[in-house]
Amino acid sequence: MKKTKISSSQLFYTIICYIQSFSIVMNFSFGISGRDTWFALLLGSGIAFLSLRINIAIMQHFPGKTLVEINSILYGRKVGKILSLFYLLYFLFLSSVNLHDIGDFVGLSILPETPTVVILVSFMIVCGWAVMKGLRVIVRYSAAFSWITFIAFIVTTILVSSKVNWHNLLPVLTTAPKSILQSAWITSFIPLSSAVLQMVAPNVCKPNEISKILTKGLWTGSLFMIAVIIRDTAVWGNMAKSFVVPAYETLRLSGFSEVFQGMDVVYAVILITLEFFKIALLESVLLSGFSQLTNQKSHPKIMAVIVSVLMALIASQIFPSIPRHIVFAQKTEPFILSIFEFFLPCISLLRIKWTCRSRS
Amino acid sequence: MKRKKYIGVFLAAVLILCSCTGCWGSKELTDMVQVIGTGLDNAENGQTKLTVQAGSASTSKSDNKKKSAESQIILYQKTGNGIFDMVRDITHESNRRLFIGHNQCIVFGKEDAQKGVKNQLDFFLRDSEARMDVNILVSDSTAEEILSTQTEDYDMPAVGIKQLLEMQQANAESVSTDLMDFSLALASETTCPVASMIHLSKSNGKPRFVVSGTAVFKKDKLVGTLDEEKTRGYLWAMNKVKNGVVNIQSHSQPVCLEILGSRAAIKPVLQANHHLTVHFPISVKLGIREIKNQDGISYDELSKQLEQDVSHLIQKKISDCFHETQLYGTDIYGVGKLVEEKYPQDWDNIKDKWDTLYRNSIPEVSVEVKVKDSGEISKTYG
Repeated sequence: MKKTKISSSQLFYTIICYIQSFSIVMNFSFGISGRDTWFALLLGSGIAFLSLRINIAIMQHFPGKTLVEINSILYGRKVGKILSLFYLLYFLFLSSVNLHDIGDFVGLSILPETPTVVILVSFMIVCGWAVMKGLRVIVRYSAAFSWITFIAFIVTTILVSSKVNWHNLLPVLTTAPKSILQSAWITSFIPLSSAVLQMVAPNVCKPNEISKILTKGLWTGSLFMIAVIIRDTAVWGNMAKSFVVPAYETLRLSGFSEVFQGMDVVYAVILITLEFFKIALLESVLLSGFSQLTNQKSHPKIMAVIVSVLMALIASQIFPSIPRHIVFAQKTEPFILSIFEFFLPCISLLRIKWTCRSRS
Repeated sequence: MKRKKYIGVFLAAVLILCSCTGCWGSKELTDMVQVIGTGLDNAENGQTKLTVQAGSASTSKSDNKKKSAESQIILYQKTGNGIFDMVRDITHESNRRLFIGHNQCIVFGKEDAQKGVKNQLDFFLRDSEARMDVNILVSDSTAEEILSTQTEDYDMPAVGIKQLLEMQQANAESVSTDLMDFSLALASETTCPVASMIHLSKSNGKPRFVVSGTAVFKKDKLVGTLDEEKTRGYLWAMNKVKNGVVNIQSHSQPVCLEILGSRAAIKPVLQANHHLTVHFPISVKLGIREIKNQDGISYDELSKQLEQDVSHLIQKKISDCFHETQLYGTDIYGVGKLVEEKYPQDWDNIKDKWDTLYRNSIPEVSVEVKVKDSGEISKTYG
């Protein structure tokens, strides 16, 4: 498998951009932990950091190897391939769910009369095109997307400052501990998952910097998300629970005069761009994993078309409605994610330790 | 290879051409009627009467003369159970679709507001076109009366109401509540929403909108109103008085003062026996704008006297307003939220009896008034 080389800063911004893109789905956590969601996210960042350290430890043991290659070495060819296949299905699931999110978001905010399938297909044409150009082209834009999002966050926060009521964050930590833990568990995987990074990180030119960059990226992305959550909570209080996309509702308030009140579409485009980055990255990872699994140098371009169509099909059928999606994301999805993001890496790490001990 | 490239370019060109045709669900301005005001009244059999004031872009090609805004105001009325259903029903009368993105105000008829407004607001919160900055008002008669009246002052009455509400900041005798404020209060466990009161004045036979006083809600039902004086008391306490005029009698003569600024806070104190005291510390800066017959009184003496008089006046207004809300059992100040923040441990024990606790609470108003300037002259004229 021919590897694409990316720079350390590209990896850094890729992580941030990937985490930022989840700002449209934070209603999953708001629905559970209400105004204490910022704390749940902080706790979730701790869990995600632990999960990342496990993944880094595995990567450091197999420098330059991707998740698929590590599985084959660690579990043998047959079991390793089956495990990798499950991982690829997991990436397909992740990208389809995220594609479904974008269909819901665009349908809800910008194009309410356009059939969802048209939105999904158009989106996948762009993503498929980007994927054909390769991982390097996708991650090249991560810095620009991240900075645009940072600037948009600062501008909109200033514009909604008159609507901010810090009392909405008080009293702190009155949500039941069980709910905070549940929300923390969700946030540790839904915005802060690291399995996908195991497919991207081995492409970095300077492998000795991977650990530092991943950690720095995770915490920068987490802090950004915490800032978004604090702003949204300060504006909406517990009412943020009721919105499908709380961050977008905050952005809708941020008109700075009568003339510029309908700026929603500009903010929506930024959120869509981030989603494009995430889905293109996931699809790219999925395709490179597929070519590694089938021992090919690179994936045939037709595969990008097939996967794009498959993703659009799954995304259009996966959830019947937004409330069902929210319930699934709150109750079922975290368990699926934790298998791939936490438990399987734990088993892999234990196996590495056990193998090392038996050798010595 | 070259052929493949040509096919790729051709496909890309077709795709780009397709995307240049516009959005799937595009809405042209001439195909829409802009809703600028919405009124909701109580109708028979538990139904709601919807009054929609709309304005539209002229589509007439034969008429090249500039149409006046007045002629472009359209009024639709429907009666039914759901607002969405009624809005859609209007398409039987109009060949253009209603667009509520520019709605300026939602006016509730008094009777309708007494029945409860939560279910009716659901549509405005749920719809993707609706905006949160739309003003909420309560008519002392019906919403239909307000929205169907053409006044001399405004070509588009709903826009006029919005401008009128913005102007209220200059006198601080009426609240200005938008859908966001109202919904946040409704979502709160203890805070009660308020809205501006609007009525039609027919002095000199010409109708004119008057925004004054405050509608007080308990949960989502209108339970009472505050007059202008008490509304000023509420606004003082809520730190929302930034401009305005204070008229008082000093030495039996009228004095007019301008409010230059004020700062206020609400500080609840919960005692061990669960008795609640609500402190309202307020500091106000004033400027003398008009005084009469105060000859022979030094500026120091006069300003001290004015400070004392205004202090008593503000104290009275705040206390009167607070007592009125205690009678209604409506915590419009958000005292409950502040108690929850300050005493989170006690809150679980008292939240169920919050209504009684609020009714029995004692307000303590401390006002610090400073007369900062006397205008261009330091003595009374003449």
